[in-house]
Amino acid sequence: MATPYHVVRSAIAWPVNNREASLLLAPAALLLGVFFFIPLSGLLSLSLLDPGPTFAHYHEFLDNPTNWIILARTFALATKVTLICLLLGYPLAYWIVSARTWVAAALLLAVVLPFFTSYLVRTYAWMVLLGRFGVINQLLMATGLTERPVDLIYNQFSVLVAMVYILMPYTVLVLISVMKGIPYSLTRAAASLGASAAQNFWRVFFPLSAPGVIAAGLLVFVFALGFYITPVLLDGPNTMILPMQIDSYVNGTLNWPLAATAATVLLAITLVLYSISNRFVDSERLLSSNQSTAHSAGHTARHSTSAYIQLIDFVAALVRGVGHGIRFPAGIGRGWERLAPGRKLLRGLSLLLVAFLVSPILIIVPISFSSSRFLDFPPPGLSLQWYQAYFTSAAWVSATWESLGVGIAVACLSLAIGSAAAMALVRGSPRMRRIGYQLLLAPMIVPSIVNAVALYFLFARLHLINTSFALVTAHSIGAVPLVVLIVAASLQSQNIILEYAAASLGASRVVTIWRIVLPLIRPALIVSGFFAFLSSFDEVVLSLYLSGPDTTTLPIKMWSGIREEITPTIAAVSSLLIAFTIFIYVSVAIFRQAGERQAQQVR
Amino acid sequence: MPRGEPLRLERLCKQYGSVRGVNDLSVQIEAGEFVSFLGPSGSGKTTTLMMVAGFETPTSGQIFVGARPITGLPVPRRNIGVVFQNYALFPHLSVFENVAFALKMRRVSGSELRAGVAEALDLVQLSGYEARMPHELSGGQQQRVALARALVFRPGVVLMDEPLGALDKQLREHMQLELKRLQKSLGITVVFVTHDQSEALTMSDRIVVMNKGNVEQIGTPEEIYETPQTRFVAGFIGESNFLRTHIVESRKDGPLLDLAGLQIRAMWQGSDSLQGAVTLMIRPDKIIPLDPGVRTDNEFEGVVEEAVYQGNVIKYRIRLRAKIPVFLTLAAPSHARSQRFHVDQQVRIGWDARDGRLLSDEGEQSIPGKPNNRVAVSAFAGVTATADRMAIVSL
Amino acid sequence: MTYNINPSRPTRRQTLKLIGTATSGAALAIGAPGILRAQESKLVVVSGGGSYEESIRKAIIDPFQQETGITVTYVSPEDDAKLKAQVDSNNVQWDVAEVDTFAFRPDASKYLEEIDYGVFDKETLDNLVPEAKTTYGVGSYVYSTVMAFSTTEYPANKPRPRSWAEFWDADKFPGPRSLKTCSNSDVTTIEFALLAAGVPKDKLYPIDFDSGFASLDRIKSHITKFWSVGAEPGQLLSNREVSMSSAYNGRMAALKTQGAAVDYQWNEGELSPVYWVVPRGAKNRAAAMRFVAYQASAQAQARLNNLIFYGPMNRAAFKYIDPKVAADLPTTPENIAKQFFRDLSYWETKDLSGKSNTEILVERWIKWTAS
Repeated sequence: MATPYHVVRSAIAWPVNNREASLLLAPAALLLGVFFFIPLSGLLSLSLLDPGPTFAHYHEFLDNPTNWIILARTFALATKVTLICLLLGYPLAYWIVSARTWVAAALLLAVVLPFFTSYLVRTYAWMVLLGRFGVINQLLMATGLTERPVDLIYNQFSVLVAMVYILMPYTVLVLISVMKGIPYSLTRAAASLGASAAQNFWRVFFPLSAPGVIAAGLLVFVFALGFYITPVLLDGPNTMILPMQIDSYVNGTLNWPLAATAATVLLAITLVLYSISNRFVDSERLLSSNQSTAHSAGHTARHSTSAYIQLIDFVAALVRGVGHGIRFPAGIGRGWERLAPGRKLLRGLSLLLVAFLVSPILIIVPISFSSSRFLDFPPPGLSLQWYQAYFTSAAWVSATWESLGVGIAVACLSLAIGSAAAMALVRGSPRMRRIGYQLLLAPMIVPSIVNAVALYFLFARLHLINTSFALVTAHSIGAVPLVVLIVAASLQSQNIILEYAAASLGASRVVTIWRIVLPLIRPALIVSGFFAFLSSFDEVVLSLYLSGPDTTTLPIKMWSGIREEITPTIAAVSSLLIAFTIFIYVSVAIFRQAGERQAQQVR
Repeated sequence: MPRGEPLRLERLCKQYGSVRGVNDLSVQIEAGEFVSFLGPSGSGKTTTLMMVAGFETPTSGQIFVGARPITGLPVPRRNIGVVFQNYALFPHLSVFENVAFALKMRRVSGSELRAGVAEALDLVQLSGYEARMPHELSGGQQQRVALARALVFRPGVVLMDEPLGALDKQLREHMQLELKRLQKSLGITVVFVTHDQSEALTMSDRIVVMNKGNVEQIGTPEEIYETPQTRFVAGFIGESNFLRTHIVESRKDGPLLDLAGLQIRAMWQGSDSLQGAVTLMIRPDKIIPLDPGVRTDNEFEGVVEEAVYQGNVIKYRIRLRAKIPVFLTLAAPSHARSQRFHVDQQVRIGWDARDGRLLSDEGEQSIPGKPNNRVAVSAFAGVTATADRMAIVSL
Repeated sequence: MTYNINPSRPTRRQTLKLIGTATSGAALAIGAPGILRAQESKLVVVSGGGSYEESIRKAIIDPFQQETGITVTYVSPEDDAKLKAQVDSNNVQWDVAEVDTFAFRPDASKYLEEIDYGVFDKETLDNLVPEAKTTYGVGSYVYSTVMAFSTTEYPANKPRPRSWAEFWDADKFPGPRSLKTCSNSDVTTIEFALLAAGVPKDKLYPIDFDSGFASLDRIKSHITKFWSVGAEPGQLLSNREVSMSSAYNGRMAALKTQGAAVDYQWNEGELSPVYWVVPRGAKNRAAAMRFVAYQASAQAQARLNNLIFYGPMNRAAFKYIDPKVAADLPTTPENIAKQFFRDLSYWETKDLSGKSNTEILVERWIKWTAS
């Protein structure tokens, strides 16, 4: 039965709507305004106004041919990483979407496990794997495939591998969310109209998934542009990229205006890319929820696929024409269309990718129980000494407490601020929603090195370096958009009529939110709190700049540990982190399922 | 003891940009009256309800409960009960908590709260279900909880938005009667929104028929059915034959109409002073087969073109002269009465002049030069198709 | 020599000073007892991590805390940029920091407190080498950047690299190498390139950048990674990521005693003194001065250098150091002879355009690694 509410819902404006929405949006606006937008403008002014109004820093930066080389290298690296992620991630995502439930669940776990594993742990795992006498080389030499160790690490290869590894889960998850939004009925319809599997894929499925490809590509590219930790740990002697150059200006030559200039250049490039891709995809929608993603997919398809269809038709005609003329053996002429997702090949590839995603994490664990102080694999004997080393080290333990404290504070703060903002966005006017999304999600697209440098300059001035406050606010800037995305998606799927019902029964807005809305979106709150906590718990780059002697977080301790300690203590810490993450992930999943079951049972 | 309050809507308008949602709506609803707003999707009935409930702000106009103007009042302070489509029960609260919600908002507690909830649940015959969660209830039970929840704080006016829409037919009909009984015994004022005409006819003291934001007619169910004032009302409520005719002679007792050469007698309604082209509306059940020798005001020969068995009735399409189709329905034959037509059978049919109803052609497009063979008819599948709108009709 | 620092019996001068702070403190205490206590009993000491941290805690920090009752917060690593930022932003959290070249910056007066040699006892002052007593920094120890190699790759029965010229000779000594990066302010490596190119030890300064980088070009393809943190070469060598590397002598000696397959040699090592400095505006300046004086004493220096294989700058310290240990320290007479001193003031000297030699090197280095 058609409900009139789909009309009503968009048309009804809550009487106190805009005032309430502004009120709900205010804390987020304040946080992002003061600790995100002001630092960024401070960065801009430092690059343009030090000492007086001048373009001198831009001249100095851009006139230096070295910087152009670095820029080109940064771009080349990001492009390679993006292409590899998309090429490998697409078949896997396609498989996950189309596979039977339990296969999909297993594959998804392989994607999610590294996704939730600490960033540093993942980088460290590749150091262990790729080292000159690391796991891979030891295996290669033991099997006699090579006598001398192969150069796997400290070159662009190792950086590529680790970056692809770290960004692959993002790629696959974004692609999955878009692919899931493509109605199954469409491919069925195409099949009923006589499309072969390949034709179906190329003419129906792929064009509809294109916005996801663009969005995933953009996300990965922007992340890759700002990568700092992984290149520093895995790069060779002559592979400097822009974030390293920025760091060298800040910490090496102490030339802050030039650092600000370089950071502004990186930011500008990112924003240009973002706005270009925004013309193709409504990223706000793409990021906001699965449901509207499908909508956006259809929307984009309408706009952009006619050229694509023409191209496909043209290629088909061309191949047919050539086929007629040359008389290929039967089948080849039309075979190209069937060639599309050569299923077995792609599944094999996807399985390799799954192995690639899981194995580094699995390698870390046995090494942490090693009796050797070096990273021998397989371990010569078993021992708990590295766990003991962790638990008895005051530095490690206090870093852990600091991280837990900051993480919990970030989760609470960003949950409060972010869910309020999400309510404002979902229930507010369309205009407010559009602008609000753009502003709230902005921190997601600003490279973290830029953010870190900008905040560093601000907090140094405010005497807030080395305070937990600085860490909590800085981490919250990254966590709030996550909360907004998840909570807004959940709110959108809620029945607004329940809020009307509460009001009609005499509940004020505050009471309605407290007693009706919040309990209903509890699963989303738990999940977003988990994400917020984890994003803080795992944060390195911002902390690298903002933490200090009293506020060393676990990732910072690990960062210095990876560079300074040879022992497998890091492996032990990493294993503990993996276990911790899995524990939280599983308990959140259980919580959420319980919540969803309850919600689903209501018709 | 009636506790209902009168509800008055005064020149209510709601405009969305350039689109008129509701246009100049005025209606006075008496205390204890059951009034339905009936109309198709987009007719403005739900918007009206939402304005009364306070979820929409009128562009202009006033709403009064009793003597109390509530137009600018926030929703929680209006003290109007609302039963929503699909019930909108709070899924995370038990039956008790759902029903108790409004009382808690009014700072009722302790034994008073429990007594209030018990009384409300007793009204809807759900005592003993306090601890259940909404998802543990059947659709009908959820419906009752929603009702209890809207009644528990004893509002003078209760708004119901298609409250029975999600129930299956049997249960719906049962609930219609029960709801009506409850309303009468409590004496509450109910404003009921529905697009189901039979539901409106069954339950209402009065019906407000709406279309495109305008009120088409306000009246008792009988008035609405028997004497529709507009073409829309006639088409929307029940099935009708619409015969496009023109007046050839105005007599004192009624006009003589011409339909492609057929002479039709009709009656004046009220102080109508129609001239020229008019539409004659006649319900299919008012057309009767004429046994030989039986006379009536209007008698025609025709051929049965199609017969559709609909259970309790059989619907026939009969072609009159000049290929004019009319529909008539006959009660399905029983052993006591076995009258039945066959396709291609020659029949004689007719109707009393008092059963036809003249409607002005206002708003209805006519085809120039062919005024008499354009006939808007009730189509077979039970869809009343008029020139530009369709509505689902269930007989 | 007869001197004995007994902290329970402070010198007259120190006593007076203590009384002074105590009385002014008493006055303050009425207003803000909490702040006063915090100021009196806390000291933030900043220096390197890893095994150095363990050693300095044992040799200096812990005894200092016991003897003075001052609670030390130990922070690592030291970072010149942070030091600069703290002073620039007038938000100084560090009280005393161990730095390489910072005390020789032309603008050192802006960032550092002048060392108060008044709180030093005479014995210490007399025995400190002249290089240790500068306006803005007190010498801590001397470390050496030496040539280290993997003993797995170059066992004792085979030839081992003896000079930077041999380090540069990839034909004779194949294997991946590492050298310290010059992309941060703590520069080195270019001297080794010049030595490899045949420039004698005493003719290194002023640096001839062109021939230095020309020499670096020859070795570049054999470099696996340029290291930036002191522990990295040890990690690279013991994980056998590289066969040889420049490295800090203390790190190598420690690894060697732990049984790692690494060794090093003194020849053509680069001696670099390290200084304790007090950031300008340090919250606990008085305690900081006490600390720098304390660490300069012969016994403290001996205790530290007994543990870490770095060379004391207090000549009297050798009296308390096991001669066996002394052989592994960079500042024993015979070891000093094989090495050269890094010219810190050269690196901090600015040219006409206002760039220091360090900055010139960093810039050229980044350009060189980028291309």
